[in-house]
Amino acid sequence: MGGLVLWYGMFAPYGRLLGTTDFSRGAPSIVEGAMLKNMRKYKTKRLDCWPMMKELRRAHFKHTWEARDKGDLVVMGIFEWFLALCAGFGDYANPSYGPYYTQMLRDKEKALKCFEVAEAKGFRRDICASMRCHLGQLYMGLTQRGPRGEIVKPDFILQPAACYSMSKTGQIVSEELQVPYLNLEFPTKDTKNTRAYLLTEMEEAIDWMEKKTGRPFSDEKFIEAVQNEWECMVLWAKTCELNKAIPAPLDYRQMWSLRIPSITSRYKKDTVKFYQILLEEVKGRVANGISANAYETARLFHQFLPPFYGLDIFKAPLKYGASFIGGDGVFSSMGAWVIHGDGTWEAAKTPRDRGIELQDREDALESLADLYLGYLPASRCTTSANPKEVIKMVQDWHVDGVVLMIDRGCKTLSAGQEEQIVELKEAGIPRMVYEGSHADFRDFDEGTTLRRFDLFLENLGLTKLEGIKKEE
Amino acid sequence: MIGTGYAGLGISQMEVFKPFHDCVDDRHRYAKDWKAKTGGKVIGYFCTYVPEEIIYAAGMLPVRIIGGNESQTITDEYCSRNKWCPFSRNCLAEGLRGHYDYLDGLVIGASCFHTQEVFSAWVKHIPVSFWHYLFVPGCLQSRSADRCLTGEFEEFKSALETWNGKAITVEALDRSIETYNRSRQLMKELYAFRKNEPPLLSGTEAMETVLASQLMDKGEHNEIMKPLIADLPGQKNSISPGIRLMILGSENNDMELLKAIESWGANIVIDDHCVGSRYFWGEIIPEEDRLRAMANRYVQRPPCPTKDFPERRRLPHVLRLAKEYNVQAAVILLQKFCEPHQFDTPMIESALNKLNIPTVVVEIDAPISLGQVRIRVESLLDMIRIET
Repeated sequence: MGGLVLWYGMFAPYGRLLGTTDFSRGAPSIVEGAMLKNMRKYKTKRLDCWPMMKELRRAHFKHTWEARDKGDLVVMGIFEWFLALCAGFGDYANPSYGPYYTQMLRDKEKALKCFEVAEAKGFRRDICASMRCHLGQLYMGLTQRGPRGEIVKPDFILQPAACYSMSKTGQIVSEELQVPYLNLEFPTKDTKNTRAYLLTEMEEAIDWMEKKTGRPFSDEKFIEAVQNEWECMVLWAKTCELNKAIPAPLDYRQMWSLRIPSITSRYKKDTVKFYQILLEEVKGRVANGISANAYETARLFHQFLPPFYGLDIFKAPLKYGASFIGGDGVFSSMGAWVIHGDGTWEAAKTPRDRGIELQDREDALESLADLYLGYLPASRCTTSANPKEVIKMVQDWHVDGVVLMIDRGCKTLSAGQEEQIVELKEAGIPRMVYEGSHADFRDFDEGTTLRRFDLFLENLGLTKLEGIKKEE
Repeated sequence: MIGTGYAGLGISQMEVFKPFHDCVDDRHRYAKDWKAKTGGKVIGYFCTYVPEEIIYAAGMLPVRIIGGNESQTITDEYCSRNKWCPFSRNCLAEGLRGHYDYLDGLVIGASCFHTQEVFSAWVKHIPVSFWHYLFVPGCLQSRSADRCLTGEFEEFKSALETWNGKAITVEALDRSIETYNRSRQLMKELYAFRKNEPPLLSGTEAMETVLASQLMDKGEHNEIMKPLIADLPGQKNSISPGIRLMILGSENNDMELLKAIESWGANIVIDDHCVGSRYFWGEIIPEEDRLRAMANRYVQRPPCPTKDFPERRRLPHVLRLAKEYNVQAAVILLQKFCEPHQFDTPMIESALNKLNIPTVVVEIDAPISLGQVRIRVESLLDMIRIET
């Protein structure tokens, strides 16, 4: 109970009393004395750099079909980590395991067809929904097909393996398309031994790519790309830190989109430039009290993956004046963080900021290993991840309630989820758990989830605001 | 009768396997008795990539963590039932109920996320004085995998020595490797009797024998095995001929399921899963660096699907077993939510079907619905009977 008292104390400065709402086990309990006083209306403003983000995303999509004319490599795989490795060969296109993933998820009819094709091939519904979507594209013949019907065969598949579902998918795509395949594994713990393993894996990958493409690997380009990768991930973490401000300058939905250039192209200078511009703009918003949304009656976190096809759920609290202002789905996957012993997340410093200059390939490889094993929270094994971190994050980001999605298909990013729920419960932090799937809309009951949102927000002491509309 | 052989003693075939049956049936009793008798430490382990040889060389008893095949709710708060496989959840349930209260330590060889999640929950909620997370490379085909695994084994050995306050000598390692290799040889010899028509032992007996080897002192297990193997060919075979089945897929320790399948007119003649043959297949080839020799064995053994890329090595192994054991049909058992095996299943089915080996996929939840399994398996068996 000591923890409970502590947490009441922590939230007192924000004028909110916490209840013990537990939506993780069915019907909510009544929150005694829950009351949220912040009814102030804030200034809002569109993000000036938003069109730049859209342009970077568009350019990434188009690159797959233009790469051959430019003499660039086409690398297949969910290549969201170690991006600099391929940059040693210059710019490259990366259509994941099919360029239509996002489109598929937005279009339920197409998504359904995709899932059913994969399932008809024997891939069961417990398998990661994203991978089933990719496999559906594969068996529908879409993986290599451009918008005008052109076929672009990838040079190779390089799969940085955050999970074995990705590795298995890479194997199947490789067999089907007859494309060379290499797997690059994230060790799940950070020791001298595992770092040595990762370094050797990366060295092997460079040799392998040189052999497969017949192209020389440029250390100069690689070093620059490693620095860019660091810069983007640190800039993103700093941007996330700014959301501790009241009001939050960004909301979850915006952050979800803003992180995409980092996922696809953070090895590039243009991407670094974008995140520098974003950071400066967000700093300006904080300084001028510009909010993501007009009201901030409650600040919410969303933990673990959200439903990619149903991101409108993030708008649901707006009618109560509440806002999702972050969570590990947007913070950890593309941010470089130092995690302190007390659970505090702090934006990391780039090697350059720490006075480290990368001189050669060896330095750059070590730096890349350091980035992913030392500073990417998502790469930790469950025993080294501390479920209490969420409590510290709730405190530091001044969060009133946490919403968590249980996704039966994704075991990697939902590892430790139940432990986190237990920690939140013991700390007396309001929480709501719903079931869904990040990519398969059939496993997400939107109506029920939205009703639970209403109950959750009402139990936080909120009421629907008449006449409120989202101003951005 | 242990260690004396049973030929000519009027002991039935079933009695020969009784020590293994008893150990599996009351596995906690065995470990507790061992501890009382020897005063040694007992280390529970998750996953067959844990180098038991090191634990054994330290004079400790390695015991594989196994759950019951039951429906339970005790784990719901730590590992929800709509995400994690029933096998793993039931392992944790045994721990939460205190059935593993005799464990002094716990170790995992990282493979699937299900066992890792359970291991993590165990460490947090069921106190043990020693635990170790052993990273086992997923890319076992990488040129550096053996070096990495050797390093992990060194760390594990060192951690065990520090905790136990006693060094593990080269001689102890050699003895342990020899004992484990002998066990692997004996298990392979026993499995070879299943190539006979009809096989000289049932699938259930084979499974109990191999599972017991994961629970018992290996030396003791070997001593029971030696006369059994020597005498089994000379015994009157009590197994009736049936359709020759292969069982493969996720972990499975459900003897009732195997008994039921065999009672429907099948002989389970071979398996490929980690409670069965994958546990003991492949020996350690001695070399100067003992830990590296061990690592090589774990790198080269038939892989778990979580470690089988970029090239498929498990599939050719399965097909080889199917041919060697003259398999007529295969039952693929999938633990609910076991996505590593779910990924492999379409390719394995397709490859077996090309060899005219029909397959059926059975999803396992706890408890298993035997009625549903029966309909599927009997349909498969009927198909073979009609064709032959």
